[in-house]
Amino acid sequence: MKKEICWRQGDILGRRISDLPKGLKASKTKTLLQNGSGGNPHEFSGGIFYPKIEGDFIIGYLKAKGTKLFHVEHSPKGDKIDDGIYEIRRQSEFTHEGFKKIID
Amino acid sequence: MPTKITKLTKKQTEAMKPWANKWIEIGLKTGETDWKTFDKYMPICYEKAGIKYPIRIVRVSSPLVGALAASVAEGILYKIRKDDAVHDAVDDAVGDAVHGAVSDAVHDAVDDAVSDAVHGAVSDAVHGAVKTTINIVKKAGISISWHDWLGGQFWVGYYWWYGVATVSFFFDICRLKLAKDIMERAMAYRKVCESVNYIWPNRDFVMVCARPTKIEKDERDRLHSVTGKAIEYPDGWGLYKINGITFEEELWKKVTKGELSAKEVFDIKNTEQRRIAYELMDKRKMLELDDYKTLDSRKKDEQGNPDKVISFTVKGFSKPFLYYNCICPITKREYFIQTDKEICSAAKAQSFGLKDINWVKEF
Repeated sequence: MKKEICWRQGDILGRRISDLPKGLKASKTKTLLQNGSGGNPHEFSGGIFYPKIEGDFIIGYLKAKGTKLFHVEHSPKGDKIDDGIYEIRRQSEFTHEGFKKIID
Repeated sequence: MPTKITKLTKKQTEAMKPWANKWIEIGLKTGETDWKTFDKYMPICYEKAGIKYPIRIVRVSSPLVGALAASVAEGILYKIRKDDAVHDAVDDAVGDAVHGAVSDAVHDAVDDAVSDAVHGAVSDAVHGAVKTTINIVKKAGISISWHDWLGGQFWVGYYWWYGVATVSFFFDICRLKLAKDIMERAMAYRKVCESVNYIWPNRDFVMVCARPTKIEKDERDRLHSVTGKAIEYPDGWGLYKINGITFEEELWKKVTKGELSAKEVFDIKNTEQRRIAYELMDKRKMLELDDYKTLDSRKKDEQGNPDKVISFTVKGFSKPFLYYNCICPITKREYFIQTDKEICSAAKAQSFGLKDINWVKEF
């Protein structure tokens, strides 16, 4: 089975994909997830984020170019990611009633 | 005395750290509120803004009361007009490079220690409560909205003219001299911030909150107490926090007194609360879980930390409960994330809705 190429910052993950889905609308903010790990936002500089909730995990798509990701605990000074297109996912946990977003 | 600063001396640079410490102390001050200083300097703030000082000065004993009362009043009164005069004057007189250097050092230190940890927590709680109230009141056909506030002591570390720690560094340490009117404005705002907690300024009233009676933090400057509220105001309102994580009083009591069984700890819906509860739990309680076992374990995951999948059964459920136990590579916090996968790598990938991952970076 082909392994997915992924990076992770706390409770969000970027899965490398080849193309952006059609019909996306760019976000006006530089926030990937407002209430992320520890209740703090995951933010970025450089690149374009297209928010789109799909299913239990996908929260949008990131076109990274010279992109740095920021989070007060995980990357206070910013961490670079490779240029490319990523599907952004939020960590969820399986429960006996199905998946639910991790609350923190 | 300089009227413009383009470079800092070595002595001034060395003064930044003690200056930040001094303002952290002011920002976290508890106990007696300096009403006298507030009553002297708040009218000057109004005067400088060209607004008549209201007759109604309302002292409140917690930010929740102030925010609710001010928001209700906001529904029928005018919004305040902000005064940008000090910001503009200091901005013109201090070079960008110098401001950047001082701001980074002083603002970062003070804001990290005061605003992020304390104001952030209070603000979240108060905003949440007021938002709920606003929604309830709106349903009754009455239009109210959030009333702007000033953070007083909690905002001494903010950027630019809001950040009196930074602005006063230029005045007190660098001896920056600006027009008399500007110096008076800066001094008035500084004195107000030094004297009280939150302020809701309005054309028709001023609501002002007393200092907290206590603020307790952990070694990482997060609000924290296992003996009572981590921050508390004179009327008793406050927040229960453990290592920066908020708890309802009932759950906080059970967690800190060790009254939760292992099953109850795993039943906590909030993963951060669950993590804290597990940290404080006597680990011998794990043996009380029915059919407790480790299904898979790794000495080192992709980031060199141990992880495992544990399992136990609960009466009334046909399938066992499985948790992926892992350690965050950055914060080193230990988490239990519910899963239905018996293998560590699969459980980790499943938590992001994937099956097999080549982790290129985890941070």
